[in-house]
Amino acid sequence: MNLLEVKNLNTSFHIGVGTVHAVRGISFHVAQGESVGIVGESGSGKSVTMLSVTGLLPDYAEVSADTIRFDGRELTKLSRKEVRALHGSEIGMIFQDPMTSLNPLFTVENQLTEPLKLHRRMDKRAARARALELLRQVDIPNPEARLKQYPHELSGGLRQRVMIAMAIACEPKMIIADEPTTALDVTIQAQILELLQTLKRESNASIIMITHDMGVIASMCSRILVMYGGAVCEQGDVREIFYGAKHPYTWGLLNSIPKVHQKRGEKLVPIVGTPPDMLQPPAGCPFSPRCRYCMPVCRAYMPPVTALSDTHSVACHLMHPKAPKIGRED
Amino acid sequence: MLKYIIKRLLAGVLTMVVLITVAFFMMHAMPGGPFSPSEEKNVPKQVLERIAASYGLDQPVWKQYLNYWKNLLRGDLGISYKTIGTVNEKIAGHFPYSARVGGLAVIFSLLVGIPMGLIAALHRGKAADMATLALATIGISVPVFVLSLLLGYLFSYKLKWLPTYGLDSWACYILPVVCLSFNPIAYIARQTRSSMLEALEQDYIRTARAKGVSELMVVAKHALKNALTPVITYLGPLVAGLLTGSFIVESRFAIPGLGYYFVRSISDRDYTMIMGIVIFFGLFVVICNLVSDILLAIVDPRVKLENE
Repeated sequence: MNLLEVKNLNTSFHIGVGTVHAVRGISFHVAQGESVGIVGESGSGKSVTMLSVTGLLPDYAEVSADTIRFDGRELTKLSRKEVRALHGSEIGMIFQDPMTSLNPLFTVENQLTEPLKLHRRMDKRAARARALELLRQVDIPNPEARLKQYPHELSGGLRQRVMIAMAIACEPKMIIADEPTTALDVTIQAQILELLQTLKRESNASIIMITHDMGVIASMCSRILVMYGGAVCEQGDVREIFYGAKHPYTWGLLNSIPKVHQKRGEKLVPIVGTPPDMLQPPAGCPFSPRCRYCMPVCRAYMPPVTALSDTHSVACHLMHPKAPKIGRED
Repeated sequence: MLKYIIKRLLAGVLTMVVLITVAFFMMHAMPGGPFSPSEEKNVPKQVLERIAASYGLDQPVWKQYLNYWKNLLRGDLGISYKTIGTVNEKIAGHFPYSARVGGLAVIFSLLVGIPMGLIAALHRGKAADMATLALATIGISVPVFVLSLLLGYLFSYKLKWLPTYGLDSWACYILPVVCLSFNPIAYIARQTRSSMLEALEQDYIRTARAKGVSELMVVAKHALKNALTPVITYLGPLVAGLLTGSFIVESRFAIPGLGYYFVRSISDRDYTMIMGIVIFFGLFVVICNLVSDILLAIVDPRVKLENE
């Protein structure tokens, strides 16, 4: 059964100079216990998608969707209060920058026990005991002392562990990790990923991993959504994306991964150009201005979604039977 | 903490020494003196000289300065040249009036300014926000002497709701307190509004929402504590400024407070009185700033009192 099902999600922001169409008609699902990666460059709408689903966007954002179904409940029909009851209890969230994601004026204990007191109605002592247990679970040494400390007394890695402990405090059914390792240095990144993998093994929670790092996806996720310009351009399981990608943007992402056997002096392969301006999104395929294989039709019409297997689908005009047959080049 | 307080107090002592020295010599550099012929026109010159000599005013200034220190270190601020009684008595007698009006003004400023800023921030761009900004701009730009005259004209003279002067009943306090608070309210409201807006944009607010914290608690707990730190910093100078009294408000409403006597003592060239009040105000500012710094360190653990 699908834990999360999203159909035709649209999110736009009304700002002074116009309307930013951040997410344009996205549909996806996450099965129970599955980990799904959402990948794309900055501004592709990854984070906004998840904030829209969870209802955490500010008031000036306009979110509409045919369905956002979570665990059998239709989130679009729930009141604010009912949605809030899910936050921190059934949906846990981990954010990008642990340096700014914790409140500097409250102790770790105060912040970590907050969801427990709120959703589990725990008293101070029970919440504290659970908080200690959580800190041990995320491998924080000397948890008793850490509870009394303030965020600025912890390193970035420790803070992200505290964030993770907070997200899993009430044993959520779904964990959304929005670039959980981007702000950390490489060794800490590896540790945090390892921790997330352990937590995934130990619980049956679904994980949605938002990242622009294909390596993180490969190590964490079973299925991948590739986003570009506020739309999903390709999705499939890890194997299908890494070995059988069909969208030129996905090729670009894969080609930009540094290779282990890369020779010294050999340059990384970038995707030339800049992401589209979402104030005036292109009429056709959002990737067309940067696409090496762009055809006239690409600029005029949004490409339809072509299903290649039960899991693999791609939105690209190259999939048309009459389009030239082009494969990924290295 | 204790080490820090001691350090700050020692620095305060140094500040006081500088303050006393500068004030003493500047005061003596003013033309005229307490018993100069230009001041007391109907007294023979010889008599004035005798009076001045009896206070030691005929000695060279540096000697007077040393004498002043000698008495000061014994806690003796001297006797007032122009009024009856010692300076110590004068300060002890007049300070309570200033402190009562000023203290009420501090409380009133906080009670009005903080909620005003909060409401403005939470209704950003709407009518309540506009009204607050307009009021804050008026509050900062209208001088207190204009305000005290306008309010006095309206409420005392035209409407006859409030007494014009004195401190005999609670109603007497309303106008002076409002006049004193007007500017601080404007400042606090603007400061609270902008720091609240800033706090609400922070990532940790999103984290709190993601934990399911109610909107009320997001604002009242997570954002407000962060938004109030600049207000706490402002509290030191505010308390010091208001409690020591304002010349304009005190003379306009005939309140026998220190602010009024301070300005009067300057025009009277009442040297001991000037020095006494300068020292008292100086100490007050030093201590209020220290207290607000300590308060800030208690609220914001990132503020390190001791520098390692």
